[in-house]
Amino acid sequence: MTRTPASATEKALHWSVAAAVLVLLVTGVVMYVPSLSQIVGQRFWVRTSHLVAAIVLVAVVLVLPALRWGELRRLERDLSFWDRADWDWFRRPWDVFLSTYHEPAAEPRRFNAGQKLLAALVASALVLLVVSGVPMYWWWLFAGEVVQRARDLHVLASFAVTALIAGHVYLAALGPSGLLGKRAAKR
Amino acid sequence: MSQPVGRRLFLAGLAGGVALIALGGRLPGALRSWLEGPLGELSPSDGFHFYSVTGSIPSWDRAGWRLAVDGLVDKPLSLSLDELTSIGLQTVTADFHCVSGWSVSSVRWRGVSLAALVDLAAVRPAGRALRLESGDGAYVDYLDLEVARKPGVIVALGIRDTPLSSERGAPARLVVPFYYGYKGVKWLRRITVVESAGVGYWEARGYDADARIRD
Repeated sequence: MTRTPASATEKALHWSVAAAVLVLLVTGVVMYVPSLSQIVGQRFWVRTSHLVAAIVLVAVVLVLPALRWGELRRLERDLSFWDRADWDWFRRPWDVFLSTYHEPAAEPRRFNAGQKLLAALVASALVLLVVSGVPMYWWWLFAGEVVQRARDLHVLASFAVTALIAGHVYLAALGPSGLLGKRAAKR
Repeated sequence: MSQPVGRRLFLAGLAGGVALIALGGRLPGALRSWLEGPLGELSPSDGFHFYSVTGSIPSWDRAGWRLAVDGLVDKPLSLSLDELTSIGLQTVTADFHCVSGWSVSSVRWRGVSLAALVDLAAVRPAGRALRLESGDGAYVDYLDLEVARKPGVIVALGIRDTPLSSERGAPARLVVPFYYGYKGVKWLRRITVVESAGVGYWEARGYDADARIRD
C-alpha cells in the first residue's frame, strides 16, 4: 500500500497558494520592518503587490474548487477527518524532527496529524488575514478603532502564519522526511 | 470512527480571531506589543513605521536648504532653517494615526504654525488652498487654507525634543493632528498657495479625499 500522490489540481492549488503567500509575506515584511521599508521605498507598489497577491490567493481558493469540486472535496476530507491514529500521533509530535521518524507503515495515510493541524490553522489564519486586510486597505469605510483592531489581528495572524509556514517549509524541505533530508540520508 | 476535527479547528481559529478583536479589549494590542518586543529594530521600536513612495530619502544640507512659500501670495518666501525657526516654535502633542491601523500615542512635535507661515507670505484673496510638495520629487498633497489655519497644524522641525530624523521627514514636515498621517508631507520643501485643492499623491491612487480620523 502506498500513499496517494497529489493530483495535478492539488499541486496547482498548493503551489499557487504558496506563491501568493510568498509574495504576501515578502511585501508584508517590507512594509512592516522599518529598515526594509527604507531600503525598498515605493510604498504604493509594495502595497499594491500585497493587495494583488491577496486577490490571487482568494481567487485561487474560490475558483479551483469550483472547477474541480469532487477532487478538492476529497482533499478537504483527507485533511479534515481525524481518527485514532491521528490522536496517537500527538503523543510524540516532535518525532517528525528526528531522523528516525517514519510514517506508520501499516496504514499509510495521505497526511499525518501534524499536516492536518497545519492545514486547518493556516487556512484559518489566511481567512483572518484577508478579512482583517479589508479595513486596512479601504480604511475610509471604517471607524479608526476598527482599522486599529483589524491591524492588530493582521499582525498577530501574520506572526502565526509565518511560524506555521516556516515549520512546514523546514519539514518539507530540510527535515528528516523532507526532500533534501531524504537525499542527504541516501548519500 | 473519524471526526471532522480539521473543520472544527478551522472554525475555532476563525472564532478565536474574531473574539479576540471583538471582545479582547486591549488584549490584542498588548499581545502584539509582547510579540513585537523581542524583534527589536525589526519592528517599529519607536512606534513609527517608515513610509516612502520613492526609493530613497532626500538628502539636504543645512546651509543650502530652503523652504519656499509661493503661488498666490504678495510676499513669496524662501526661508532657511534658522529663518523658519525665528518665526516662533510651538509644541503640539497629538496621537499619530496611520490609515493602515497603527498609531503612536502622544507624539510631541515642535514646529512653526502653518497659519503664521502663510500669513507672513500675505495670501491673496484668490488663494484658497495649499499645495505641499515633498523633497522626494514625487509626493504632493493639498490642504484647504481653512484647514491649514486651524490650531495645531504646523511645519514640524522636531519630535520628542530632538530635531526630526531623516526617516521622520527632516528637516521639515507637515503635522495635521486631526488627519491621518499621510497628510503630513515629509521632507517638505515647497508650499504653494493655489485657488483650490488638487488631487494629492494617495488620492490619485484611490484614497478617499477625506483624511479625518473616523470615530
